[in-house]
Amino acid sequence: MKVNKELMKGSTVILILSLLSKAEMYGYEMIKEIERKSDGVFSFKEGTLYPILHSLEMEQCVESFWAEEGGRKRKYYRITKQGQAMLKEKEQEWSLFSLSVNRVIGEERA
Amino acid sequence: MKPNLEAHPLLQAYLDQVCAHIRMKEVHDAIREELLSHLLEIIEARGTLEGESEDQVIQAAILQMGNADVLGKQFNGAHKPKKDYGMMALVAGMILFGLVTLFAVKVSLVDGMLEYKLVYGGVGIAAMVGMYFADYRKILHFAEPLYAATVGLLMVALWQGVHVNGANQWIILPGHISIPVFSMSPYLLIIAIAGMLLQGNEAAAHVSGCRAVWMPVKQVILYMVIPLICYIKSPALVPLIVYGISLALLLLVTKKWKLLAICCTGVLLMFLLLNFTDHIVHSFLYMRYTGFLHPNSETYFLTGRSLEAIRSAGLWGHGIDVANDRLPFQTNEFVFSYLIYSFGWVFGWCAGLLVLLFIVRMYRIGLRINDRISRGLFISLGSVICLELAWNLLMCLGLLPVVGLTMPIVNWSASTVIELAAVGFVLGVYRRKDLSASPGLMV
Repeated sequence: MKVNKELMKGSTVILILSLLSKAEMYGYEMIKEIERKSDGVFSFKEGTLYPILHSLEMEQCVESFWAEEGGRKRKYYRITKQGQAMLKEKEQEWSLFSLSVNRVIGEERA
Repeated sequence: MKPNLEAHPLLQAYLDQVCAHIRMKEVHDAIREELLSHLLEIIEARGTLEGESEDQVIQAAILQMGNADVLGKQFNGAHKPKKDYGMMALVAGMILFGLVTLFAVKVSLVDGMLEYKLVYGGVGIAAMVGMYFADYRKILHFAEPLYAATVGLLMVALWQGVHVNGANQWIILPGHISIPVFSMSPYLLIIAIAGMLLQGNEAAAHVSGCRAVWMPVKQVILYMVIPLICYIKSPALVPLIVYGISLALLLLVTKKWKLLAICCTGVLLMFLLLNFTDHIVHSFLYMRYTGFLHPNSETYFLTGRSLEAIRSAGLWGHGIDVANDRLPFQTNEFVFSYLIYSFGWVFGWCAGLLVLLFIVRMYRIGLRINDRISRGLFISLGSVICLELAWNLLMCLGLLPVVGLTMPIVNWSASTVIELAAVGFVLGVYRRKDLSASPGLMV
């Protein structure tokens, strides 16, 4: 089963920041990592990752640098302090949100 | 995979279509490079199925990437050029102020001067627009030739030896065209040095041993010693002070502490060792530069006349048809005094407020730039304009010495071209303040 697009939209930023909080990564690597960790539930048009990364870079939540490996240029991203603060905030927001959704759903089922 | 896949027309057409939506041209190359690298990863990971053509493989990769138009629009949203409308309005206000000035001094201008001033203003505005859209980072690549050309022009002026008010600051060309190379030089030198600092930062990773020692020595000679010698030889006090402060700001903002310390110590030592102060105290220039402090001295004359014109103005001034025969330099250095004489104190306060807002805004938006070199460049180049504006105003009000310095941006003359170009340049820096690393800067 695939997740609805609209649901994905709101959560890409937290996914990206959380990946980058563990390691520096380039775009393709992030996509594969998200797919792998979510067992293929999260898959989206891969290009859309980049405008989000670029916006995050302007907000100084991530920074980027180019590196070359095996003859291929890759643009790596790493999280900044500001990005870590944002991630923390988003995580709290998310757990509150999911907790509340579960509660409401749970009540209806009971 | 074939090695020439990067140039495949299908891939290039896809990238073209994405970029067609992105107005900020400077980001095109980096985005193309990033998307292309991603597409190639997809193609490589997927491999070719049996009976599949190259075109089909690429089309599948593109499908996975997403619709080019949607993507292009999302990128465009992420890369809007940064504009500060407040600053733009203030610049427009200053240019309007310049037009009012031109209109006011019309009666006092000799024949033909009005046309000259109009041409300078027009060329200046064109230069400003041009510099705003030109990618300043490309100009920074030519830092060394720019530096060499600027020092070359200063040398030509010194060699030509045309003295105006005891200083040697112009290059005179045939046909009554004179280029104020000394007042232009702080702008050009600051841009060149910011460019050299940027290149130095990029190269620093690969420098070691002997070159690491030679580097700061070279920097001190280029940034401080050579300009200092030119300015003292002239002698050009205003460019010297304006350049000195702006350079100090550039090194301060870019956090080149060591270089800043060496330059400051160098200047101090030079003054002490060469007994410079002694030499200056006895010069004609010293008298001229301190005259404004002593109302009874001979050289107080200019300051006195300026204050007299301002005092006589009253709230609403004498009107523009009343020429003032007692005020010297009313169409250049003392244009502000003359404007107050004509339009009154209220106008003077408004104009002063406009200049003050311009200066404050310049520093405020400069500090919003994240990249260290760009911020340094913006602030130090902006300071050249702001220092000259402030000096000219204070000089008309009798608070600073009267020096051959016209009001930048407002009083249209040959130097207006470079002043307006500098305004366009800093706004261009601000416009591109969020550009990220380009593939050229490889780690």
